[in-house]
Amino acid sequence: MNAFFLNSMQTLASTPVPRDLALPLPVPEWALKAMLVLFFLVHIFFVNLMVGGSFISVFLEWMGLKNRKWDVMAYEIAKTVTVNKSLAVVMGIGPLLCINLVYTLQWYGANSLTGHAWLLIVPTVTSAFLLAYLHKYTWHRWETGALKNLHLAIGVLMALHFLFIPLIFLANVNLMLFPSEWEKVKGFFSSLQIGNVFPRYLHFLLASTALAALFMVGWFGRKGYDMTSLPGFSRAEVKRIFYRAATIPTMTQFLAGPLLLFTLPQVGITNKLYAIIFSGAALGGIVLWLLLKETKASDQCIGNRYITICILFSFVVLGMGSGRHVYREAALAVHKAAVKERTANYEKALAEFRMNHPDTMEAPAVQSAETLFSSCAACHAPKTRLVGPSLAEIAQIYADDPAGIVTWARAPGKKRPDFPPMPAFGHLGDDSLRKIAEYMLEQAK
Amino acid sequence: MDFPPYYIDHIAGGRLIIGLIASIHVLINHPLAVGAYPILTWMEWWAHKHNRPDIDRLAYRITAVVFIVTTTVGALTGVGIWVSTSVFAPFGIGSLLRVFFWGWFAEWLVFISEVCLIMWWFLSWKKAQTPEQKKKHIRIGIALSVMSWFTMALIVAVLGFMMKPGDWSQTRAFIDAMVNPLYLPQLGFRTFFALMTGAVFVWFCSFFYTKGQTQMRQWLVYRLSHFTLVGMLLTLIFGLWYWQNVPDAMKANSSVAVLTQEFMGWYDKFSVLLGWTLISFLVIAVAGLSFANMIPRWALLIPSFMGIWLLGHFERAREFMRKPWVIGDYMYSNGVRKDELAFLQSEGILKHATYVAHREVTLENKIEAGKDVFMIACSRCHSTTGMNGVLEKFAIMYGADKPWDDGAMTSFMANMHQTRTFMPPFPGNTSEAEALVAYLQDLRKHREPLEGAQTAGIRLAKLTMQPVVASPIAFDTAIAEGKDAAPAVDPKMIETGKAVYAQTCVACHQPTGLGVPGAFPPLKDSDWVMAEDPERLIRVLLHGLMGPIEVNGIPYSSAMPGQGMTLKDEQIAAVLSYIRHEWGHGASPVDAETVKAVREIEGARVTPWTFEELKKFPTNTANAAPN
Repeated sequence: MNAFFLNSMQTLASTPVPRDLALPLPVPEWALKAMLVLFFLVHIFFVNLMVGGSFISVFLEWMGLKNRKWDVMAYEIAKTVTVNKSLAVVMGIGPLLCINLVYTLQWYGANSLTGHAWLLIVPTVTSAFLLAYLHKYTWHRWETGALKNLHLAIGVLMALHFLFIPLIFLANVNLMLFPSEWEKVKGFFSSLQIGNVFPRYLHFLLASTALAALFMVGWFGRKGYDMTSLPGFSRAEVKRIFYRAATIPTMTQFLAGPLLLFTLPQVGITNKLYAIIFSGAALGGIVLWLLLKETKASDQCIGNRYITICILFSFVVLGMGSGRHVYREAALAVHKAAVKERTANYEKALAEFRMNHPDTMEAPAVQSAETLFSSCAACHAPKTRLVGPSLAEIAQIYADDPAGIVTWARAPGKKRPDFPPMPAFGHLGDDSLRKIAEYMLEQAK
Repeated sequence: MDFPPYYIDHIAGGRLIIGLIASIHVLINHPLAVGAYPILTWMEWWAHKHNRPDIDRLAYRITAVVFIVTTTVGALTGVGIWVSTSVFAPFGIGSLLRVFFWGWFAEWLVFISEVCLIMWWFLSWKKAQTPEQKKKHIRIGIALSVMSWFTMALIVAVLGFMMKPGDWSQTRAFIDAMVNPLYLPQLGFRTFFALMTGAVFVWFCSFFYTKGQTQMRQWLVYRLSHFTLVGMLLTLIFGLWYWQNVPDAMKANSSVAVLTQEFMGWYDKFSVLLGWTLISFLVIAVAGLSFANMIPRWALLIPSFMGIWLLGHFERAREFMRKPWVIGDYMYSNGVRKDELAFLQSEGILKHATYVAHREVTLENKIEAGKDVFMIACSRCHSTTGMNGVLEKFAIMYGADKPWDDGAMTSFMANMHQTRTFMPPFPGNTSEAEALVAYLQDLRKHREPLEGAQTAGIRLAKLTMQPVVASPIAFDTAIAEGKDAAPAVDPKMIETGKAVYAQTCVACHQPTGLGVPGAFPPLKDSDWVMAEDPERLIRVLLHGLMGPIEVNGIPYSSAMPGQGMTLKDEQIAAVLSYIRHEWGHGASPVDAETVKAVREIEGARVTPWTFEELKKFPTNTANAAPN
């Protein structure tokens, strides 16, 4: 009988159901969730621009080794990367704040389990940023020969950083969704095998490239942009190049997207999710169609659909962002409820205990000498040396001088080089110290 | 601390990592962000007013350094504080975020403006050519200086709160948390410290860009000395006000906080050193006023390094003085709340923990359970054998090559929060304290590294008791409601059992449970008593024993009268529960139904049991108690 229970217990018991923090959320949960979705999209927008921009810039610099005009364009893009990177980081604070509150246990749990990698974000991002600055500011000094190769290598190194860092974040946002799998995880690399980190990663890389390219259409295509900075290109030509650069990964998304969707663990799949994702994908189909039209547009007309594309694309992104959230909610619904219940039960048991034991809350007003002495007994034994000298020895030194003991205990000096230092006890107060001193001398008799 | 325990052995609970990241962050942002921006803006303004493009260019070049450093290392170490506290003390940062959400939200908005402003200011500097453009550009610098100061003003509120929550302890209101007594003093202290160090930084930096330009240097040094002096004077004034407001109990920690226990006696020397640092700033600043062209560049390194030393120690001291709290008077550094302490000390901390391998201490799992206790209660500040290692602490106390007494260690842990006021009270019950001691004693013999959840994975306690429930949630409900679902021990039953013992058993087995050597076997740490299944014990109580037996491998040859006629099922269950619970035992209680069932099974029996007959009922052979 018990064996059966225990076995099913153990399967059930393999999902950690921790206790939540006792402090209430300062903002209603629905508001935090709405903020989470929106702020995350802003953050990921700049991350996409930073990551995609760094890839495109390095790729074009490489092309620029043969034809200089690409190198000039690569530099122009590098200038945007160093700005977008700072916005990406600062915009990350918002979603991080919200996720810390709404999904405290799941998020921090994932952080701890991938702890080494999570900590490494700090030096790797710092390094990536410093490389980005180095890449940008040495561009025109290291223009030829071996220095140019070094310069390109720095760019590649920077791009590799931006390739790796998102994987750390992806591992966490993925791991937090599946507490039932946590027992299998032993660090960052094993966390990559939970859920569907790599399909997400592919989707992210494609999105970064597409979005960065789309951004370039607008950045270089805007009226205020001085085209003399890009010799060898016309404005229409540049727009076309980047429209193409946006179209290819966007087409690929129609493979990568379903791959992501269908590798998501079942636990979070709902009809609502499918509805949102397919709506977003449908809009995405329209965006793709418009992009294709733009790539075929004439020099005069190219760019006319840009605003429309951006607006529609925003809705695609909003759909995807909401879809992620819907999946997360479904995946964690049971766990959150379990946590809530466990927390409530614990707090209830705690409240009952405190009601039945009111005296444990306040320290007793007057403690007996014997109770007070327990602090000292840990180090001072009656006849032998435990940590400090024995009571017998102390009684000899301070015979009939309890005041002397009090003075010493308040601010112990260091008389004996081979003994460890004694901590100060002034915080007990002179009355208590006196009581202890007299008790000590009494005991020694 | 109900989070997977991220733990790196050897580095004492991650405090070092948090401390290093935070110190770098502060060391950069005080002089470079908060301090230098206003000084550089002032330089740009002065250059514009007096038509000195050379000074403008100098300001631009120094701003470039500030820009690069603050938007990389400066910003990322700020994120780093968050990231590191998330893995080492999620209970702390998680709680603070719930209290201070709006504070951090406002901080975020200010950060966004600061990031935009620094990029705008730096990247548009060279393009501002006309007087109107220049005036506008200077205004950007002013806005940046204000926003930068503002980010500090917000975060300081959080830091002050952690030490001294003020009215928040009663009202739990956000505004009370923000407006706490340490706020203004700390803010003033930091503002003028930033100004002082910012001036020295600009001074130092400028020397790289003004080779041979004696007049320019003179101009700069003379003025920066003013900034330094004003900054220093106000730093001192606010510092004193700050010190006055530190809670007394925390002040008592200060000598340890500042120089670790070993150097407590050097506290006086530290004060002297502090004085010398301030004097070095003073000397440089005053000299700058009078002998500007005589100050060599290297001389600035002296106050710079002393400033770094001072700031690093200040931050360490500030953090340490707050101990044992992570949030003053609310939550200890190990994640235990003040209001749950007594509860956990009664019930045991393992019972309600999630990421532990054992929910209660038994004879069998003592060392492993002790490891769990260490991880939950101690690992946030201590390592086992590395920095701030607990073995090292005990070695200092008792001697590294001497035996350590279990009892002394246990009683020390019960009282250590009174002897070392920066320690939280031990948040478990006595058997857990003993388990921890057992773990440490074992670790002393076999030094192995302790692995955190990020390497070893999480351990989730199996439910070893007779569960009457169907889910982990219900299991806890059962505990909360004190139902039969073990391991809850009914105190009334223990009381009854104790009374039965005193009347019936004490004559032979003694009040200590140690029996009489050679005559009556012990019950304390006995493999018979600590058997997981009480089947053997119930039979012994019902019908007694005769002939030679072995307890803990030691032979006894006596007779024990059966009690089945004189004691009812409830009394047998009670006394068995008592002996399985007393003397530091943690075995499961026995219920009357089980006794009744056994009595029925053995209904026909009248003769006492022999050792051979009882052998088929297992004992707890894993723990033969030492002779």
